[in-house]
Amino acid sequence: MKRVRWWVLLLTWAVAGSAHAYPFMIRHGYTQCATCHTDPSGGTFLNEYGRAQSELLLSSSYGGSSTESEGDQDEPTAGRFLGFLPLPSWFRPGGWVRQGYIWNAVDGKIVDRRSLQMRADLGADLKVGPFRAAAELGYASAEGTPRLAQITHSTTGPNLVGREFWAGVETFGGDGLLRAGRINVPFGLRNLEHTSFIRTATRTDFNEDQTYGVAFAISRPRWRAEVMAMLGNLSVHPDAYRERGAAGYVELSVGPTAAIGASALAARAEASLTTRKPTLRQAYGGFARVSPWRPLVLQIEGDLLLENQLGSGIQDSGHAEWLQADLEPLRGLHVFGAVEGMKTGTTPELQRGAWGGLWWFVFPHVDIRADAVQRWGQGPPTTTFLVQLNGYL
Amino acid sequence: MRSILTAVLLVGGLVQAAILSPSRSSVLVSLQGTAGLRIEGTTHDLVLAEREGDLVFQVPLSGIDTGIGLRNKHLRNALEVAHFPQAELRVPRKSVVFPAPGKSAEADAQGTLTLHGVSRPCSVHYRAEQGSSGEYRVRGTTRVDMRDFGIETPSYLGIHVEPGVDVQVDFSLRDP
Repeated sequence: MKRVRWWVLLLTWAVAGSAHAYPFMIRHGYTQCATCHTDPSGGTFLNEYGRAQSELLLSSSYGGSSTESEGDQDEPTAGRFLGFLPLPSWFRPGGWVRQGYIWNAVDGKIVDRRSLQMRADLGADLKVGPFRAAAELGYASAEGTPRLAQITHSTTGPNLVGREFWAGVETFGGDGLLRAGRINVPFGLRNLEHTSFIRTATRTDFNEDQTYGVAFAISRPRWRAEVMAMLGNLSVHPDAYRERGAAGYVELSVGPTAAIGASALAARAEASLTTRKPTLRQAYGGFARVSPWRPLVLQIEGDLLLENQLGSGIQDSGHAEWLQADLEPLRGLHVFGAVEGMKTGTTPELQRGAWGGLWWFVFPHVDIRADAVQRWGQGPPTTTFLVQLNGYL
Repeated sequence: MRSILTAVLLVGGLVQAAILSPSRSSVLVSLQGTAGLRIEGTTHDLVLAEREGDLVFQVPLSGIDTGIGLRNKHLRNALEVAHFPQAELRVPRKSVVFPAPGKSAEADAQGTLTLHGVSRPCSVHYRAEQGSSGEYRVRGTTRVDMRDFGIETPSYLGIHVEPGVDVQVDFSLRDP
């Protein structure tokens, strides 16, 4: 029974929580994230243009042309808040609700099934002249609390969570943003699958791995980059467990629908969350996105992982990989699959995973998704089925 | 009906040959905007004629596709395509160098671009290459400032594009 509970805990960790960014928008020639998102590296808040694109490009079209460039599209209503409310350009509210149902199986046997409260957040982004600020605050159930983003610290009941809040100033005519606060760690693909090995191994998922620090991002037509001085995650206690260091990436557009990038991260903690010893953690990797044919987007990332136990001479090395294909045969309907691998010092066996599923952007700002995830290499094979309904403003 | 046009091929000395209307044409316009936005629009409609000693290139603007229907509509509105349906570039024929078979030529040519009802001098950089089959493959590039042609710089939902527009034209010509 104890063993089953352990697997349930592991699988819950593997799929809980949610946020969103859509790197596959590169199929439409959007290599930059800042065009649609207020975070220059993507995710969370949409600007007015981004809300409009979610109607024009992301969601299914009913009764219209099947391709975006056919015919005359109407002016989107989604560019307005709630579809009808025009907002001042300096105020961009956001809201997210994601609810799911999950089945976990170990060695082919269902060991856990339940509803999953994944996200219920409200927030706002302000832009006054060159000054910018963003903050979000959410509710998380006892089982769904992203522990690294919690503001309150109940271990048995629900919590308030805050994934990001920051203030900054635009530079370089709006192409650059210097900001400080709790920020997504700039590293690799900002993929929605935050439980993928590449995100968990590098601790750069944007469900809960944001950290406090100072970051500078710049978006140019042919490249984008962000670097961050990481000053520690204040949701983690005590201070010895907080990682401090630096992270960053640069991505070059090698065509309208292709981009290639490199990332690096180095962070030191007085006590590692796993070994409780002083540790220097490093990750270096490359990633790419390409859409050779508009319905198809391929994303790949490979990362080298290094972990030094300071003063002991112990160094663990590992790696994590991800290859994902996203096929959109009809506008708004996605069929996706991915394969992944990971080997770390704490899990020396090569772990492998395969993802597959359907994702339907039913209406602007509403999508449903079904995932099946099979993993091997650490004990008996595990399987997760997850269906989720997502709504966002 | 495809019109057959004549032109003079200048190769070293003056070698004459006739030119068919272009094939495998592609016109690419590239704009940049806020926060690294890059927009590319393409059309394959290109008409080449010879008038009064000039090579006259015409591009119907309504066919430019940026990949998003609404954006195409905004582009047509910005260019006022209903009133000014095409862009026209006139280049004196004698200022263009055509290469010999198997050779290439690269140079700048001065012409006049008419867009949005406004005509302005325009410098075009081009590269022409003649294959062994007698077909010429030509690429011309230029950069225009839409403000020079009385076009208001577009802005949409907080996203602005810069007034500079890169234009690249590719086409093939074949000896009759």
